[in-house]
Amino acid sequence: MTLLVLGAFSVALTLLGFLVSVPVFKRLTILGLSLALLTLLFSWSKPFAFGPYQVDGISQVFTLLALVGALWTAGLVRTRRFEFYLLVFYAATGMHLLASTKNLILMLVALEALSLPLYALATWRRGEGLEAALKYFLLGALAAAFFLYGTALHYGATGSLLAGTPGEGPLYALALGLLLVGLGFKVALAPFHFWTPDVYQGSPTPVVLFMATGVKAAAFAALLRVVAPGAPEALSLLIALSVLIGNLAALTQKEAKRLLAYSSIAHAGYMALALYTGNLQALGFYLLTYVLATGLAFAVLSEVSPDRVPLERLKGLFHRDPLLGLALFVAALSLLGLPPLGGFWGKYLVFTEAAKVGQWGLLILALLTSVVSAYYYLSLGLAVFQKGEAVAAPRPLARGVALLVALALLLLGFLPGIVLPALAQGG
Amino acid sequence: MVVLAILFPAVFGTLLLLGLPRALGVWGAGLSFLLNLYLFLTHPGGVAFGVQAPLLPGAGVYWALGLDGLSALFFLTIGLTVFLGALVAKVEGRFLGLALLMEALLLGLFAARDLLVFYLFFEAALIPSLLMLFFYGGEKRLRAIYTFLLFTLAGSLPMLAAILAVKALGGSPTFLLEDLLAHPVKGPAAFWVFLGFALAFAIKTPLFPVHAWLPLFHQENHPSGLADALGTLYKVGVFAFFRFAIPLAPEGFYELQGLLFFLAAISALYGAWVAFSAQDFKTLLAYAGVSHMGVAAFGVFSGTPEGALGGLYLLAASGVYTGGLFLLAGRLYERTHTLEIGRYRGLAASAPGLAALALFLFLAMVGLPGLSGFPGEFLTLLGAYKASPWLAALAFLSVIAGAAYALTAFQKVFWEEGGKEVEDLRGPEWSFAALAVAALLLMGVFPGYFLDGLRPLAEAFAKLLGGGA
Amino acid sequence: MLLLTILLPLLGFALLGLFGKRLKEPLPGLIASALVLVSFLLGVGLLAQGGARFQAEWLPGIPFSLLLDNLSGFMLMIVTGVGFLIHVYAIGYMHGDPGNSRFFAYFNLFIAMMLTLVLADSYPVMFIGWEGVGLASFLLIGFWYKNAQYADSARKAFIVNRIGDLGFMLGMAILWALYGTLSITELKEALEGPLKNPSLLALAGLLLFLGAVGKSAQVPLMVWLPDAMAGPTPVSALIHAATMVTAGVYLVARSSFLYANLPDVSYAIAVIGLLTAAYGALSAFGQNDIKKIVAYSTISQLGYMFLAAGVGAYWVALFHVFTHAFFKALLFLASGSVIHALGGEQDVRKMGGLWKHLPLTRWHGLIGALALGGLPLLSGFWSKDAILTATLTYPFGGLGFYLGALLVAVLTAMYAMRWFVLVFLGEERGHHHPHEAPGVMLWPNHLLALGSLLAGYLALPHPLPNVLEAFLKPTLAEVEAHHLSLGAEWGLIALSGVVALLGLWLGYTFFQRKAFPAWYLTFEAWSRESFYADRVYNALLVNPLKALAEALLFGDMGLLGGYAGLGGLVRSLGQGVARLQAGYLRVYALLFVLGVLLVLGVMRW
Repeated sequence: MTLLVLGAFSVALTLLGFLVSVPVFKRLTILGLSLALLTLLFSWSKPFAFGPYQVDGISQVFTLLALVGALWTAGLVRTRRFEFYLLVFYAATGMHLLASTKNLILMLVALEALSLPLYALATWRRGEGLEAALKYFLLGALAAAFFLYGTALHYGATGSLLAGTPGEGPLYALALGLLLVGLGFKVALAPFHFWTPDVYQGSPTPVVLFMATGVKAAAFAALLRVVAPGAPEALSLLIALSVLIGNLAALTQKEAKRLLAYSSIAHAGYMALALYTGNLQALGFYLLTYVLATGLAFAVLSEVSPDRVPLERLKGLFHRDPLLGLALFVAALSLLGLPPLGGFWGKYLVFTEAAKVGQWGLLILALLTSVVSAYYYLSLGLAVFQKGEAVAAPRPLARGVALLVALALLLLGFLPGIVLPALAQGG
Repeated sequence: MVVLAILFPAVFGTLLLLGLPRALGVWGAGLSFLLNLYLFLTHPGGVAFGVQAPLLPGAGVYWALGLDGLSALFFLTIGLTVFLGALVAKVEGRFLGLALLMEALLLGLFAARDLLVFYLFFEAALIPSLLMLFFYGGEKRLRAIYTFLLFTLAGSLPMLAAILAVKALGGSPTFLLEDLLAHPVKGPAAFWVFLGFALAFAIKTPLFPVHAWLPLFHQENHPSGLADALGTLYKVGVFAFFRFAIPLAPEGFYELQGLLFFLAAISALYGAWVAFSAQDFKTLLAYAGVSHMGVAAFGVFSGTPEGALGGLYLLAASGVYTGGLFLLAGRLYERTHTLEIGRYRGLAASAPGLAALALFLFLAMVGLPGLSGFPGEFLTLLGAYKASPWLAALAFLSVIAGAAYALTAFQKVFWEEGGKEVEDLRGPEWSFAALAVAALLLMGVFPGYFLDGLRPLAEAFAKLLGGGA
Repeated sequence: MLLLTILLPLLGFALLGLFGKRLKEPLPGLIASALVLVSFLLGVGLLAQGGARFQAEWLPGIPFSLLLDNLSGFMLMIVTGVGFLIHVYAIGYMHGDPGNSRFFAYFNLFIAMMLTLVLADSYPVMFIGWEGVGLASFLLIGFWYKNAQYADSARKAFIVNRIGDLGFMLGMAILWALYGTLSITELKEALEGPLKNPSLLALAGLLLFLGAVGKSAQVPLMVWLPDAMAGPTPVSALIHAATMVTAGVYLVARSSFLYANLPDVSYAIAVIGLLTAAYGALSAFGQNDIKKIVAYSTISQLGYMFLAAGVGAYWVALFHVFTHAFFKALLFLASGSVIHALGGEQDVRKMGGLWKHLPLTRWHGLIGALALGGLPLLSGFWSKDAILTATLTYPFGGLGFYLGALLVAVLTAMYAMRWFVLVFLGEERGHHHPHEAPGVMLWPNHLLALGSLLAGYLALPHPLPNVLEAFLKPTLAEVEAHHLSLGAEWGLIALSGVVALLGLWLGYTFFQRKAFPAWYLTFEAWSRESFYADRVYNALLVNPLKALAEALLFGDMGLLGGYAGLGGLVRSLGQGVARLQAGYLRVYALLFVLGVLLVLGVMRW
C-alpha cells in the first residue's frame, strides 16, 4: 500500500510539477507523504510481501522515521522551485524501498534511488555546496561499487541474494565486509564518514535534516538485515572509531552544523551497538529519539539561517524567541542522552544490547566518549541562553512543531513505554 | 503519596518558571515541606507510600518509588532546607522555580526503588543545577559549569555500564531494588561493577581527589546561597554507596574497602585543613563539606551498623547546617556585598541575632554535642574505629581542624571590630533562624527519634557485609 | 527531678539569651543566680534522699543517663554552691556592662553543661557537658569580643581543648569496640572480671586522660589557660579555677575503676601531674598580670590533683578539688575586686600598698594566698598534705613524687606571697583612687574565705575524723593504701607545715626587696614567657600547620588545573582528528580505501 501511494505520487508529481504553482506543489508533496504515513500506520504490524518487496516490522518502523524526516524537510524548506520537493519525495520512496527488502539487488537499486536525489539536493546551494555534493557523489559511487561487489560475492558464497543468509568461509566474510562498507558509508560510520562534515556544512539546513534523519533510518534498516544475524568483527572496529572520531572531532567545532555532523557520526556508532543482537526495538527507539532530537536541532538552526550557523550566531536566541531557544536546548540534552529526555532511553536500550553480547569494552568506550560529548552538546545548548544578537523569525507552524517535538522528547523520557510495544511488533 | 510529594514542588517549580510570582513559590516550598514532614511523621516503617508501574515494559524497569525510613528522613531535611532557602534568598521567581524543580528531582532520587529510576533522577538533577549556575552564577560560571558537568558525567556514565552489568551479570529479572539485592554480582566481575559505581559516587560524595569540582561550583554560584544549598543536598554519594553500590556488589566493595577508607580519611582531614586557609565564605564551606562527607563516607564504608547510621545521619544533618550556612553567607552578602571572610569584622555588635544563628550553624558543623552534627559524627567514629582504627584516628583529626576553621571564620566575621554596621535579622529571616535552630536542636537532642527508621536498614546493611551487631 | 537541676540553668540560658536585652539590671543576674541556687538546693535534697537516676533514649545503644551518687553529688555541690556565690559576685562585677544579660546567659549555660558533665552516667553524656563547658568557656573568654586578642584567646582555648576532646572521643571508641557499651555503671561491672585486652584498654585510658589533659590544662596542653584570663574575672574564678578545669580530675576519678587497673597509665598521669605542678609554679613567678599569676597557680594546683589521682588517691584528688575551689575562687574574686577598685588595672607593677585602701578585700587576698601557700591549719594545707602523704602510701606513688611535690610546695608558698606582697604591700606604684567593692561582691568573698579556712576539716589525717573519704569511698575504685605509723604520718605533716612556713616566709621577705639578684632576673625572664611554650608551639606546630593549609589550598587549585589539563589533552586530540578532515577528496578516497582494508583485515577469515 505504502509503496503504491509513494509510487503513484512520484509519477503524478513529476508531471504536475510543470503545471501547478510551487505552494500548491508543496502541499501536494506533503499530502503524498502524509498519505503514505497513514497507510503505514493503518497497516501497522500487518506483514505483507510481494516478491522481493516485504513489509515487516523493520520496514514499517524505519519507513515511518524516514517519512517523518521527509515531511519535516518538506515543511521546513522555503524555496521557489518545485524540484526540491520532488527530489525529497523520490528519496523518500527510495528509503521506503530500501527498508522493505531483503534482496541485495533491490537494495542496491533503492540505495541509488535515495542517493541520487540527495546528491542533487546537496548542490542546492552553489559554490561550497557544489564541491561538497561532488565529494558526496564520488565517494558514494565508491561505496556503491563496494556494495555491488559485496552483493556478487555474497551470491557466490551462499548462492542467495537474500540478506541474512547464513554462510561461512573467506568469501562470505569478504562479502559481509564489503556490504558493511557500502551501508556504513550511508549511515556515516567511521572511517567512511569523511563526506559528512563537509556535506552537512555545505548543504542547506533542511537537506541536512533529511540526511541526518531519513537516510540514517533507511540505511540502518538495511544494516539490520545485512549485518544483524552474525555481526562481523569489523563492526566493533567501526563503532569504536565512530564514537571516538565523532565525539573528539566535535569538541573543537565552532559551527553548529559541522558540530552536529560529527555528532551524527558518533550517534551512528551508538546505534550500531544494537546490530549485535539485531534488536529492532532498541534501534528503533534510538532512531526515534535521534530523529526527533537532531531534526529539532536542525529545524531550529534552519530558522536562524539556511546557511552556516556559527555558534556565535545562536547566542541570544532564547531571549529573542524563548521557545526556539528552549527547543534547541532540549534537543542538545536529548542528543547527549541526559535523563529525563528520550535520548537517554535510546542510549540505555542500545547499551543493553551491547551488554547482552558481552561487549563491555566497547560499552565503556561508548560511555566515556559520551562524557566528552557533554562538552560540545552543552556548548550548543547553552549558547542560546547567552547574551547575543541572534536573529530568527520563525513561522507559527515551525514553532508549533518545535514545541511538539520538544514535549515529545520529554514525554519519551518519562514514559518510554508508550511507544516501545509498537516498535516491538514485527521485527 | 510519594508521587504527590515529588510532583508538588515540580508543578510549583514549572509554574514559577512560567511566571508565577515568587511569593507564591515560597508558599509552595512551605507546603512541600509540610507535606514531607507529614510523610515523615506518619511513616509506618518498612517501605511505605509507594507506587510501582512499568516504565520500560519487558525490560524490567519500573517506576518504583517508595519511602523507607532513610528516604523519609531525607525528604524531611530536603524539604526543610529548600523551604529555608525559599524564605530568605531574595531571588527572582524563576530561580526559585529551578530550585523547586531540583527539589522534586532530589526527592525522586531518594525515593527511587528501582536502580534505573534512581539513575534517571540522579542525572536529571544536573539540569536545574547547571541552569541555576548558568543563569545566576558569577563571572567564571562557564568554567564551573563544564567542570561540574564533566566531573559528574565522568562518573555517572561509566556507572551506567555498571548498572547494566548488575542486572546482566547478577541475573536479576528486573531493576527493582529487591530483585537486585537478591541477585548480587559475584566473582571477579563484582570488582568492576563496584568500581563503576564507586567512581560516580566518589565524585558526588565528594571524596579526595575527585572533589576538585566542588569549590569552583560553590564559588561561582549565586551569592544568595540558594543554589549552593541545593548543591549541598545533591551530594548524595554517601547515600548511594549505602543504598546501591555496596549492597549490589559487596564482593567488589571488599576489594576496594581499604582504598576507600584511605580516601575517606584523607578527604576528612584534607578538607578541614584546606578550609582553614580559605579566603571566602563559600570556599570555606565547600572544603568543610568535603571534610564532612569524608567522615560520613567513612561511616558507611565501615560496614558497621553504628558507622552506617552515623554516616547517613551526618549526611542528612549536614544538608541542613551546611545549606543553612550557605544561606547565611547569602544574607551577609546582601548586607555587605562581599563574601570575603577577611572583610566583615565585628558584625556581632550590630547584628547579634545573625551572629547567634551563625554560631549555632557553625557549632552544629563542628559536631558540638546537643546539635545535629554530633550524633552522626560520634556514631561514625564508633563504627569507623571498629573497622579501621588508625585511619579512623586520622580522619577524626578533622575534629580539631574543624574547630579551627569554623571558629576562625566566626571570629573574623562576627567578632573583633572595624567592620561596618549591618542590619540584624529581619522579617522572614527570623523564621529562617527559628526553624534552622529548632532543627539543629531537635536533630541533636532527639537523634533517636530520627534514627529509628534507619536502624533496621543499617543493621541489614551490616549483616549483608558480615559485620553484624 | 534530677534532670531539672540541669534544665533550670538551661532555661535561664534560653530566657536570658532570647529576652535578656529587655530585662533591666540587675534582673538578669538575679534570675541566673536564683536558678543556680534552686539547682543547688534540688541537688542537695536529692542527694539527701540517697541519690537519683535518670534515663532517656538518646543515641542507639547509648541512652542519656544521669546518676546522682556521692561523687557526682559532691561535685554538684561545688559547682552550684561556688557557682552561686560567683554568680552573685558577678552581679556587682558586671554591673553596667552592656552585655550584662548575655554574660549571665552564658554563665547559666556553663552551669547547665557542667552539671551534665558531672551527673553523666555514660561517657558520651559526659562528653556533651565536656564540650558544652568548652563552648561556654569559649563564649566567656571571648565575652569582650571586640578585642581581637581576647577573641584569639577564646579560639585558642577551644581548639586546644579539642585536641583533648579528640582523645576523649577515641578513648570512647575503643571502649565501645571492647565492651559494646559506654555506660559508666555497666563498664564498671564489665571491668570487674579479668581484663579483655589490657594494652588496648590502657590506650583507651591514656586517650581519655588526653581529654583530661586538655580540659585541665596539663602539660603539654596547658597553653590555653593563661590566655583564658581574657574573660571577665568571675569567669576566671568559676570556670578556669573552681570548676571546669577540674573536670579532668573528675573524669579520672569517675573512671577510677578503669585507672585502678592500669598502673602504667596511672604512673603516666602522676608524672604529668607533677610536671605540670612544677611548670605552673615556676611560670607563676614571672607574671605581672594579677590574674595570670593566679592562672599559673591554677595549672600548678591542677597538677597536684592529677598527681594524687595518678598515684591512686582519688579521694585525695577530689579533696584538693574541693579546697582549691574555695581558695582559688577567692583569690580570683579578690583579684577581681582589686581590678574593680583600680578601674580595670591588672598589672601588679602598678599596684602595691592597697592594704590600707581595701579593708576587707585585703583579708580575702591574705586568706586566699595563705591557703594556696599551705599555711598550716588552713584548707589548702590539709589537702596538700594529704596529697604529699598519698604519694608515699598509695601503690602507684613513690619517693620521687613526694620530694618533687614537696619542692613545688615551697615554690607555691613563695609565689603566693609574691602575689600578695606585690598587690597589697609596699608602696603605691599606681596613680589610682582605689575604692572598696560593693557588698554584693564582698559577701560571696566572705563565704569563700570562710570555706578557705574551714574546708580542710572535712578530711583530717588519721586518727582524726575523715568525713570526706568515707563519703566518697563507695563511688571510687578500691585502691589499697598501706598505713603509716602514727608517728611517721604526723612527722610528715609537720615537715610539710615547716616547708610551707619556710616558703611563705621566704616569699614574704624576698619579694619586698628592692633589687633582685641576677640569677633571679634571668629566671624571671624565662618564667615571664612561661618557658617559651607558646613560641615553641607556634614555631613547631601552629605556623607549619597554617603554612601547610595555605600550600594545600594552592595545591588544590593546581589539582583542578590538572584535571583541566586532562580536558585540554582530549580537546587537542579532537583537534587532531578534525584536522584529518582537510577537505581534499583524494585524501578522503585514500582513507576510505584504507578503511576498507582495515575492515577486511579484522574480519574472521
